[in-house]
Amino acid sequence: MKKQRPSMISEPAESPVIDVRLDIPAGAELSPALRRLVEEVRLETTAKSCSASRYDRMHNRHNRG
Amino acid sequence: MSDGESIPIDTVLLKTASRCNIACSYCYVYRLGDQGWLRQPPTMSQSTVDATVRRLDELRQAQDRDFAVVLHGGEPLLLEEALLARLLNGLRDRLPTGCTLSVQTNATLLSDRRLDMLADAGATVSVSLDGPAKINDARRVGFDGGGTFEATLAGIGRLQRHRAAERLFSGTLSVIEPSTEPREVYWFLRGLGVPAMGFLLPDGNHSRLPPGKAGFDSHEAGAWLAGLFDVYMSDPDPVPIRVLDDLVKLLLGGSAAKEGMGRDLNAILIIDTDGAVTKNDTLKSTSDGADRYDEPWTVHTHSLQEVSRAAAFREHVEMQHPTARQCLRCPELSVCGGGMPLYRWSDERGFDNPSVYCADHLFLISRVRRYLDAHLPG
Repeated sequence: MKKQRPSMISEPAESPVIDVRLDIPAGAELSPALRRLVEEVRLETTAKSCSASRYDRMHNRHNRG
Repeated sequence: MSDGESIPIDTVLLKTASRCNIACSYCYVYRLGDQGWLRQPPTMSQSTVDATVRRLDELRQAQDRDFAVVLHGGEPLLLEEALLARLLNGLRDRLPTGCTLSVQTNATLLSDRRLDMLADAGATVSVSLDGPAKINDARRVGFDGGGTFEATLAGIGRLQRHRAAERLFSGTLSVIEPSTEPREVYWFLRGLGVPAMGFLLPDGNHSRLPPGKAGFDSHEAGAWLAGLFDVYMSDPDPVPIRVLDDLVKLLLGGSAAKEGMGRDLNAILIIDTDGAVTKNDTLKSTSDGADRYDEPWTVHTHSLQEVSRAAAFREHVEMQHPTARQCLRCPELSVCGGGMPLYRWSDERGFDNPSVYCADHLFLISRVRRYLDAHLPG
């Protein structure tokens, strides 16, 4: 079995196309889910604030049942 | 690699029980590569509970940030009530409230008394349920082969009727079955009044393909999640879906909340029923003992700060970053993060592969990108 190679960890590819559009013009019709997510990212990236999703109450990062 | 600076711990998973009272066909603890549970005490002993509380108290004092504590199994509520109360009260008394407490359960043992204990400790409850009865009971079965849907729903009912239900119930966690309709699962869970939904990919790897996956290039689970995304985005009163929220946030320049997506490293400690500190338990799905460190770390003999400073721990945490050349060249690596390491495994090359779900990730990311392009003004 091949071991992990920590030296390569610092060589990740970067996504060139993430396009942040967080200023929603008045009157724009976004789905409620998307509107909430845009707002949470805007808060995260501008105010450095924790977002307030319902499930943040269980903020563990373990992704398992 | 030598020991060095400690890595702040984000989540501590306590295996309060190594056994389960049901026998799901897809369970990574019992049904895949690992048999470690056979060597473990069925539940934590009082001395392990006490040592765990003491070590977590020490850890919080030593590191300058809170961490989450999750009671997990097996079925974590198999821990006898007196020990459950001792554990919850010990943690709540000694940890700041910023250290959240939660339990991941099949809800079949959620008595009013246990709910009171959890509520008094300020803990939250996440329930494993895959959807309506015919979907849930196809895989989430008891030892007699019968479905567990009714028992789980009864537990959810007790949870929702509890005086502290609003605070206690954090949501459901479901394993995807790609042959089902995502719309049916979403609307069923939404109809139950769950406050949030989590979805997991079925476990598997390159040597043992996940159920429902035809091959490395197929994208059944990706298509299922894309269907779920469409339903989610069209719901005028949507229930948050963690995996999709993480994906959208990453595409918008934000960060993910859960492991297995994005580039952030998550330092997670697992404490087994005998007090042993192990690697991420999901690695059990790859081979027997894959979640074990060579070091004999236990809460009875070692501080968790000592573990968090160790080279072996750092190496394990950094393993979340993929090493396969295909991943390192991929423009979507900053979004999918290479997926969870368990999905990269092959018997021939270990973890040095793209995720077996690579095509699924790419399919879903592409669909969500197109949606964002169409709906967010540039």
